[in-house]
Amino acid sequence: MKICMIIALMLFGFAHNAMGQTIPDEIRTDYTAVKKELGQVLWDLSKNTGVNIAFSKEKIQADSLVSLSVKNEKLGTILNQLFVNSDLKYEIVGNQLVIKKDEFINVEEIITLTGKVEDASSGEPLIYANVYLLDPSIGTETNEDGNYSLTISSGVQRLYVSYLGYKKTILELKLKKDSTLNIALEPESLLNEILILDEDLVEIEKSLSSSSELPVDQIRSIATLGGESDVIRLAQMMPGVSTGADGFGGINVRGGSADQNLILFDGVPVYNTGHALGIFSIFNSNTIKSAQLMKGAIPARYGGRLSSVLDIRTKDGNYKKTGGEFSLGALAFKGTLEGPIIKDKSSFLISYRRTILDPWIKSLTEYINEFVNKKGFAEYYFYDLNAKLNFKLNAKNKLAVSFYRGRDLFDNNVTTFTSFEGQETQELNQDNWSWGNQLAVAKWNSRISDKLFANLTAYQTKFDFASFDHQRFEEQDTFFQAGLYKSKISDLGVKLEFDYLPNPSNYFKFGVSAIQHQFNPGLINKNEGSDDIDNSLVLRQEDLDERLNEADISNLELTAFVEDEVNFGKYLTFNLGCHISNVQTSTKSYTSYQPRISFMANGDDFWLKGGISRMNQYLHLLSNSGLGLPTDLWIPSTDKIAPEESWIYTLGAGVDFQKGLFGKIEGFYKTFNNVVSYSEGALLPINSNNEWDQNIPIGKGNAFGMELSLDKKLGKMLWFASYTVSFSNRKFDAINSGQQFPFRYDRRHQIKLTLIRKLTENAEFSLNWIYGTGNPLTVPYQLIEFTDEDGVRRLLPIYNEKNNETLPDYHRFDIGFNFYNDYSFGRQKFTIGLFNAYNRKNPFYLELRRNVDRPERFEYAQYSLLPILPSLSYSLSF
Amino acid sequence: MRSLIFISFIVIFSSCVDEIQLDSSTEEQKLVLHCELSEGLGVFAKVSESLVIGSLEQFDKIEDAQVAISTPDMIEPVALIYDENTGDYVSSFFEIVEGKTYAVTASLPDMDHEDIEAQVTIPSSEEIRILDLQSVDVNFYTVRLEFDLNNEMNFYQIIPKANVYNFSGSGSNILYEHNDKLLTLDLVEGANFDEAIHELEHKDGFLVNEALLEDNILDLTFQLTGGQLEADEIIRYLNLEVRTTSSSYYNYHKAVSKQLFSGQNPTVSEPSLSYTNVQNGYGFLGAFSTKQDSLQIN
Repeated sequence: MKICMIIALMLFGFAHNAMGQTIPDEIRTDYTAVKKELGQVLWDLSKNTGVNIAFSKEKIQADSLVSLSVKNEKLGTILNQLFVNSDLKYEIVGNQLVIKKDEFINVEEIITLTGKVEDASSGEPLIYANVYLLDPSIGTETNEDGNYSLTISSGVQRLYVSYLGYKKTILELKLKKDSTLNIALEPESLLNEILILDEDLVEIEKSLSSSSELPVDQIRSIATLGGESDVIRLAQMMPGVSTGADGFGGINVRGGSADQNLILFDGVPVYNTGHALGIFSIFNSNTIKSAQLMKGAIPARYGGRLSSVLDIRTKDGNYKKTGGEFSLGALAFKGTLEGPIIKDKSSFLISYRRTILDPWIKSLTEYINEFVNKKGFAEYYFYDLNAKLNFKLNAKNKLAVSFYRGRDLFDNNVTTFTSFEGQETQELNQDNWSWGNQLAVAKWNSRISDKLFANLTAYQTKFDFASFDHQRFEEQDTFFQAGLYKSKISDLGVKLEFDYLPNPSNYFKFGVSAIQHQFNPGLINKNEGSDDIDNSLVLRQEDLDERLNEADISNLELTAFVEDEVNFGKYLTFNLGCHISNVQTSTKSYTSYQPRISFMANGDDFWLKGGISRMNQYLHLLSNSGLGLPTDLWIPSTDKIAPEESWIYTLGAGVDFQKGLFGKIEGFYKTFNNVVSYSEGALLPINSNNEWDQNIPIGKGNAFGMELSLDKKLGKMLWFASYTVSFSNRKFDAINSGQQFPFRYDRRHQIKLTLIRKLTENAEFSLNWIYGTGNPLTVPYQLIEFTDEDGVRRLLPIYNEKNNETLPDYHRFDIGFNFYNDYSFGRQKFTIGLFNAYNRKNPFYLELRRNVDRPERFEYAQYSLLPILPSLSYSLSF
Repeated sequence: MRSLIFISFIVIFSSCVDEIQLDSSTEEQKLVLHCELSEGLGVFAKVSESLVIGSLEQFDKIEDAQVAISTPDMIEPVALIYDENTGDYVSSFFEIVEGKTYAVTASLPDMDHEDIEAQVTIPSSEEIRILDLQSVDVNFYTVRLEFDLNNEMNFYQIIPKANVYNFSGSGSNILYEHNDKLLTLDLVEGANFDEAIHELEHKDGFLVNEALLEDNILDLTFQLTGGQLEADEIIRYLNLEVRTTSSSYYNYHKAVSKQLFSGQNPTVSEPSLSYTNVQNGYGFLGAFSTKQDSLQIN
């Protein structure tokens, strides 16, 4: 019979605050004994460690002979090893150890301890918190819902529970039967966002996958653009991650393209993560609890993308008291409110962010246009809304409902008035772009038994992008060119996942899911020659919308997975699994079996790990690489476009240099098949009437490289430095004459440095420096003239090779200062920062043009996106 | 104050455009040849120079190039003379014969350019039959073509034109009178566009790569785009000019067409590689042979 133990159990034992106290049985020593009397061995150990060990010679048979050999081992572990085949145990009494008979010797030997780990001040579940015994190889971590299960021997056990940013908790438990224990950890009372002084809290690598746990706790300390903390910008600082200029176009992980990253927002895929075309992400940092980036050795529970997984989890909301944060920066306003609906039973969280620059952008562009004899203006804004409700239905069941909506809108309408040979002419230029995501999720989390947890999630995720451009020139005749380009994708999904922990050596995860994908890509171009357009009317987006007739494609993706993380003793762990998926198109069925194998061998100060993953992807993103302007067109696998596949091989090693300094080296090799691209030259309109998919070139690619990093996680100054060298190539029969060429985002070398330094109790500063060799792109070096059939002389660029040139190197230095003030009602924070502090003109794209002063001369103009940008922001949390 | 802030923003962001130099230091100007040979036509070749981006050169006319045409069995090549009126290097008497191979050379003795040379064989004109022609809607026509898929996989440029007739009367007493109007038709929809058929941006008609056709029968839909019909006008015949072309003609015009499309639509297509069969230079030497066929519209 299970005994349900509440936190009051802590009254039976005692909880330690690990900071500043040494527990007698944790003192380490070396010792060797060969057939020595037990009493003498205990005496020697007491002398070596300085810990008094009390025992009765008669009761413990002190003259029995024992043999032992240990090196730098904890005293408690040594004693457990000595008593393993006996009925003896030790107990801590004050500062000494007392040896006595084990009263639990005849009770059930193996029991299961299960429960939740939460934040004591908010009730927020803590993800991947460590729960382990004196022997740390006997332990586990909480899952994505904060649940844990540990199958251990009965008797007196010391349980350690730790999590970064929280005080380590140690519990002395007397366990006789299966028990439930919920643990609340106290957060560190930090005066500012980051400060890690306890070496015990700084962990050596624990994940088998090639991953980076993004330090979300530091996200608000790091120097940012416009004062906006951003988890995607944080991911960009990780080795192996590259982007276009200033985040434009998404992230590319280890030579993969932007669509090959599975970005999960509370377990739900997100298709586009960028506001302002990638300069900012859609993730409001106020709502984020954790973020993990997996670049290789990806566990079987993830699938659907080739290159990486970015798993972002949001907060539940404070179960205990109402609070919030409001901030105003140079770019945006943000407000977050959270609190209990019913204390400790249900909570809410709502957060809204919106840009505030709209009036300025409109006025500025209107002003500039007036200056150059034009009329019109540009507008731009974006917003995000996050909302979440959580309900603890009972001790074993929880329901969460969440919603996200975000949108970007850009409008530019300008008319130029000119006079030519006495005739007034006008030229209209219109660009209207809009895009956004919407997510709705319902999740039920259940503890089915002490060893089995389940999650049932139902969701909808949508992304749409529309671009309308229109140029109209009116002289004697009317000339115009208009295009509408739309991309819509909508998923309806349900997934059922289980965590099963039968014993400390095995952690099974398995599950199934079904996703109904709906794609609506559409592309249409019209000009004055188009038969169905009245040239006298000024075209609007709606006019092309009526004629667009988007393609309507849907398919059903079914997946199943199983994985087991197996511990072979203290030093070796394997994760073995398989992810299986299937998609049906109109005439074909694609099934993929994706084995995933990874291992980690670790000592106290080092680790070695590696893995092989096969990945599959039924969605493709068509992205232009000529000018570097991304045009995200999501298309599905069809009868003619097979799913993309990859193999990822990784091998790495790491060292703990002590005092919180860690070093890591990792190599990777990836192969890609069935990747897609826009074709060279003509692309047919994409609509429901034509077989557009037979004009999509299909190819393959590879990527390989090495990452070196050093990470200081302890003390008043934290820093992270990395160097990456990588190669990434693609090959299509129909592109570049079938020759291999460098991938668009193949940055050969990257160096990244992030530093955060506490200046005083209430102030800190941070800096970033990032360097990357330029992206490849296709440029002509020469031009020729030719005369067409109508006698018109035209210029033709000579393109000899794809991605034949490299843009100038990208580098940037950011600096920021944070100042804090605490008041009775809350905390204030002022941030001042400088983005791109030395005003580096990083290349955004190139344009071939005539020299303004000498029109006979052709030159390349480099456009840069973000110059030096100061920022100032204020936030108030309560 | 408002103006000051705006000017500051303009200054900051306008400094975001710079001229840069790419690594074109190893690029050298080259001679460019544009020449199409066909039986029954004279020889007309355009010779020009390429322009290295970033240099101070310009596109100048080249009037003093030494341009010549020859066959393998000729002892001396025949020089082409510069025509000031057209800007071409011409020979009106040199005979082009189907099946023969010709070489064109060009050089500028006083300059640093390398001499250029290109070769082409004049293809034999092949038969393409129009099996059926229907008017499906106002200005829309479907055509069924039959290719002779022999062992030689040919390249074609097909130029459809509509013969316009005036009509009068009604019922069984309609009178048709041919007028000189010849309207162009654009390809709207084809049975197979998988690189077998390519519509041209800079020339009439479309290209066909016979080797990529899945079947020897091709169904195409055309739209009348080259003008409007008057109330008393009707299209009675579809006229097909079929040019059997050399591979160089096909590849060059296809590459040019793709590049022009890419330049107009940079966001939805990849830059297209250039083609040349000119040694040490750019441009092309191509050839074609022509056959005509027409069919009355049902």
